[in-house]
Amino acid sequence: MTEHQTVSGRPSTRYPYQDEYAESLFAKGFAKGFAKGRAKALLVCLGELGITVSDENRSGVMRCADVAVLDEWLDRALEGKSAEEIFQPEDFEA
Amino acid sequence: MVTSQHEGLTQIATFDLEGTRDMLRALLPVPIPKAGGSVIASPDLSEADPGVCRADAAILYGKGKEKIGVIVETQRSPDQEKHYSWLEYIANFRAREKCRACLVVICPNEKVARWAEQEIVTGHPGLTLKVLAIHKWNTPVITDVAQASENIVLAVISAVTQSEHPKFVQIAAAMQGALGGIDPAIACRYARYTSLSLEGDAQREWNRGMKTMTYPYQDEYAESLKAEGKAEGKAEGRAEGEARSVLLIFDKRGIVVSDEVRSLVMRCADEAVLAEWLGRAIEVESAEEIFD
Repeated sequence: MTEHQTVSGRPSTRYPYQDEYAESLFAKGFAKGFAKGRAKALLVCLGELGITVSDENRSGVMRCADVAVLDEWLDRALEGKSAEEIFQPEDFEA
Repeated sequence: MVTSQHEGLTQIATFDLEGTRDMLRALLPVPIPKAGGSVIASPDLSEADPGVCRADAAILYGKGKEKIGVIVETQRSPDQEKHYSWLEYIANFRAREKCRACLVVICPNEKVARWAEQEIVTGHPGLTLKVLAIHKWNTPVITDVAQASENIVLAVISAVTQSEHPKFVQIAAAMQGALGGIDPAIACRYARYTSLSLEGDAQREWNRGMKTMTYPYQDEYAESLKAEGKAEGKAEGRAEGEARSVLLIFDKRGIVVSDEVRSLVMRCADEAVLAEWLGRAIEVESAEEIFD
């Protein structure tokens, strides 16, 4: 297996794909996984900050594919806001 | 260096040992028995220092007096060090298994083939090693489906060694046709290994042929590539998303992150470790503390 770098410089151990179609599928999976990773990170942070997240909001976070929205939630959490203040109903309308 | 081509050829040689038996018997002057079983042996051929002396693959054919060990190496570029280690592989394998042993080198390109053909003179009278090289000059050009079907592994290996042959388009087509006649799951694997083992124009031609979807296994192949690509992308994306979050929290908290910490975090792919760092990133006063 060859080692090559992703855009961010993270080393990757996957096989380099030979055609653009396969590459685009990888990119699609990557974007999806990236949002999931960010969402999971947000939930870990909220837990660490002692903020209780309802099941509904939790699944809303995990379903969220918009990195900007995930970012906004993290900002609010770090500003010391409560769960009610962090998650606005309109955040989930996308 | 481990590369995809290297991996592909080693897989071809070890995926179906009976097929490999047929291929070796067709190509090389080595007394590999027709029957008597076959088994993958440990390619770690070190005597006392594990990890130093490791072949790509090792196979044992036959039993009793007929038993013979076959060491398989795939070589993409000349490597003078091999002139020392190959002899050691043979000696150690032979000593471990108490049987005859030989070393086969698959050479996907001409430069390596010429190099591998050289005799390795040990300095001891009569002890000169000439490895059994498989390359474009001793593999057949198979452009006929029936012929490719007769000996699938031979056809797969030859498709790789003949990748620069002017008739490669026909070679690839014959190979893909022959794969259409075997178990689709196995055909899929060979198609994948072949694709990995090829390079440049030959690889593009192989992939173009795979997309024509004439045979059922080609559908399966496309599906498996798609699913695999997506899943790999997702796993990598997820780890990257978490790693980025750690750095993002530092940024948002106004904590300075050194290049060293940044690269350590971005290189981590272990979700459990990343989750731990995330938890600490919220509390620590300096970035380095997350590693404590």
